[in-house]
Amino acid sequence: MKLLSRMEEIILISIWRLGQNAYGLTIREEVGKATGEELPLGAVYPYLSRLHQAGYVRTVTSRSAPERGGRHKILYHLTDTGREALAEVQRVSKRTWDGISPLVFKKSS
Amino acid sequence: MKNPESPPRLALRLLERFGGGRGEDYGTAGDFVEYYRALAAERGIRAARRECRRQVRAAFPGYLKNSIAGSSAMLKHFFLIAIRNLRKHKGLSFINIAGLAVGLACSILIFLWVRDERSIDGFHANGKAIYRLIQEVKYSGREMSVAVTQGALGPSLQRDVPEIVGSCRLARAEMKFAAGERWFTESVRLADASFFEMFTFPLRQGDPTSALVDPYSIVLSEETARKYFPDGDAFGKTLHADKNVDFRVTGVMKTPPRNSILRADAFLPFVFGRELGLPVDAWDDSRFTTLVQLEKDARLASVAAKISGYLKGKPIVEKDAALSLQPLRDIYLHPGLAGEQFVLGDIRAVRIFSLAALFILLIACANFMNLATASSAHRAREVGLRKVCGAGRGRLMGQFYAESFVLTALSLGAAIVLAGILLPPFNKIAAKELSFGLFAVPGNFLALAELLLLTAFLAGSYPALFLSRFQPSRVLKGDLSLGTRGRILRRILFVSQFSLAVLLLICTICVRNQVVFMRNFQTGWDKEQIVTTVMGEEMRGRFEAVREELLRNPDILGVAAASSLPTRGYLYTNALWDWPGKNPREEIVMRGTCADVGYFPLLGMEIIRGRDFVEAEEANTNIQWIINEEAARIMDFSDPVGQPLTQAGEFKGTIVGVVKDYHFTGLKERIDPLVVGYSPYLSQILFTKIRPGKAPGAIKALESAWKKFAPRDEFKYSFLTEAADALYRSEERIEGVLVAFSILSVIVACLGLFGLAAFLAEKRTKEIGIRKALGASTAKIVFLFSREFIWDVAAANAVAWPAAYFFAREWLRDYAYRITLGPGPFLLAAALTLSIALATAGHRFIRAAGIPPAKTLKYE
Repeated sequence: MKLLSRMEEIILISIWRLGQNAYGLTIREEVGKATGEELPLGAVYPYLSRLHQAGYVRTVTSRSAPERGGRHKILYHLTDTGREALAEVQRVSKRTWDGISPLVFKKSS
Repeated sequence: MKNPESPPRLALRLLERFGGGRGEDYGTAGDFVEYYRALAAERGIRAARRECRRQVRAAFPGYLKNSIAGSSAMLKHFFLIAIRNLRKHKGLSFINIAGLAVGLACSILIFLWVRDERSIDGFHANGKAIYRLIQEVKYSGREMSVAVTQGALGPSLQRDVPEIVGSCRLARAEMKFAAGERWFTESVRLADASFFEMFTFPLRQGDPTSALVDPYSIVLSEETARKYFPDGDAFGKTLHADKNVDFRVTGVMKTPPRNSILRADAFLPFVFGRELGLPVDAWDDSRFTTLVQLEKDARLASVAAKISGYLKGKPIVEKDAALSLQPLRDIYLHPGLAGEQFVLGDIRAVRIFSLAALFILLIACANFMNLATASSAHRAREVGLRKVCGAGRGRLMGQFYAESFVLTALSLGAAIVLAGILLPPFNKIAAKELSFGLFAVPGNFLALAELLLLTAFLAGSYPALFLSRFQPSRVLKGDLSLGTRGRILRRILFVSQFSLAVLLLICTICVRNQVVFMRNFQTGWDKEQIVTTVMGEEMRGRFEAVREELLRNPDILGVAAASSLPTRGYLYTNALWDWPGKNPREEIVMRGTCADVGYFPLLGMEIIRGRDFVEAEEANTNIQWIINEEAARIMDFSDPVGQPLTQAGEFKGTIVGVVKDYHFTGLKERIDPLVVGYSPYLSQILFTKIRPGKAPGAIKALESAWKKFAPRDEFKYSFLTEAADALYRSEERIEGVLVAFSILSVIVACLGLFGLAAFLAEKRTKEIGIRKALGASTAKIVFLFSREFIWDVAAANAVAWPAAYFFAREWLRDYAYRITLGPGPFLLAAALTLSIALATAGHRFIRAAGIPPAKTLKYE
């Protein structure tokens, strides 16, 4: 299986964390929390579209809300493929990090 | 037009169009509206709109990458056709690219420059919360904003206003220091202990919170520390200063960034000012800069309202002084406050340069549109055929935009090279150290990309809309009457192009005239052949001996001293002056300075009544005053000589003379009333008049006098002409850049004209042949064909004149002494543009008219 890019991984995890409430804004916020850096508004959508095309997420159209100017909300959920991809990323990263103790990163000053 | 309920329309549409994948809905627009509303509720509509625009702008590069990746086949085709078209019309393409490259290069340079000007003091972590306190006062009925405040104000405000979490007072002083044998003069900044916490000047060594607490501590920049302690660590060492004071180095700063008005090489604690005799804790003297830091989420308006009347009831000397706040970042570009303590830039230069660069870019874009529509006849059939084959209007527009994009991209490449070549001379004119390294900053690189897209869009829009509208049935039949509409538009574009060029030209001539006027202005004193040096205490103490020593040299014609340069505007005193018959309710701006015997005659200032100072003991009770005519007028004595005058209640004396009005600031200000007091002690600047052509000998004599009387002092000298020229440096800078820009704008406009003329000459070759065959002379033909252009250039002049008059008048309004706006610059600009246009177009037509008709008509 093709490995996810780092950003795609973070976004998938964010969607998973958000559960029933994953849409553009909350995902962006969640990503911001994780990386400490805020994505520009709208920068998540190209990723979402890529993930959607790859079949990692599916969309659910929820009904329109007045605070959104009558436009509807698109909620995102992980698909099984998406979940698998995440698990794969986790496995790979575990294997690559195995045996490296955090001590190595201490500055040798 | 603006609907507060919805985010900025353009941003929303961009996001909708590019934000999601193609065709599918990802909830983008809804998310955006929700985001905007939440933000608007929290921070207000304006902030929300601004933030939304910023967000979309930041996300745009990502979108572009995405959308290009999506449709590469069509794009490839567009670009291929675009490049083929460029190659087919080499001449036109060259004109377009050259013009756009010049326009873009100017824009790049100005962009770099404006960025730099706007970056001043933008790096402080707390910068957004820091403001300078400004006093609004009324003097002689004039409202004035004063940049300096009372020493007692800062700490008192911080105590009384909870939103103010920090305050810092600043002052400057010249002091001499030594660590070993050598003494250096430093211009030090005195600052409160909060300085290194409020402002981001990181310390390499030392504690930012306590470095300036002890009155005998000093913080040095790395370079200065190395100067005093060449081999080893400065931190914790002792630095001797004049007046037998020792300072301990409690901090070493990293080299402070160049773009700050606050930077200095050495900082002393503000409280040390007491020992220098500064009114550090006083309410009755305004001479310090006070900066305050507000709480992070404090509302500016409410703080401003709170402090506005704060000075009421305080024992200050100004009546009705109100306080206001000036953001730290605004200080640099808003000069002109009374008592300004910083070296500032000029917002007018920023505006003028930006406009000029924009004009050149617009002229270049108009060239592109013009040439594209002029050659529309060539393209009409192509468009018709493409439509017949099923191309939609959108596709055709894409095609034309791609063409303009390719052209702009090529121009941008050329522009970057051009800007790189022009950067060193530009730096010289603008007195900057700009470099292309600035484009390594992502934001700036993005701006370059935006410039590219914007220009491509601007230049390509009209051709795209115009050419894609052709109806295939008509153009394929050969009906080219559509072209006439294009002709009217072409003339409009041409006229606006030239009017922009004329506008620039007239403004440049006016600025130039004013600069020449200022340079030759009779200031009322003689700046030639005068060397200035600053004397230390030892020399001032033995000034008589110094004078005798110097006058012994045949190259030195005269020597005198005063407390400040005649260009410095003098100390601006708030202190109340008192004289018999003064209206006690009226407050007067009166400037004050001190001088020694012989200062006025040495500088060629004429004493029209009374006499010069005579040597006397210095005492506070019997000061000799000399006032200028303006002061005499305000004091309204029948004969001012012999009248008593008192400053601040304690400095009493008699007016001994009246000096003819002379200019002691630039020509922006009228001559204020001036009082000069006799004080050899305070007269620390030595003016030496030297024999013309004998400067080296005289300076050598000065230096040896320095060695003899003050061996510890550094010998530094400058010419008074330099100081006088420095007053007009900003104007000269504007003039230099404007001259270059107006020449470029005329060149770019003429490039377009040349292209048009070439095109017309080609299109009407047969007409020329027929006319010649029927007996028309070459001159007649050239006149006939150039007439239209001449009319257009004349119309451009007519359009540009009122605008130019308005701009020039606005600019000149800042000067109390200025040129009168006569018809000269206007006529000169008209004559220049007409003759250049005639030469450009005429040259082309002469060539066309020179071809024998037999050649042009033989295929008929």
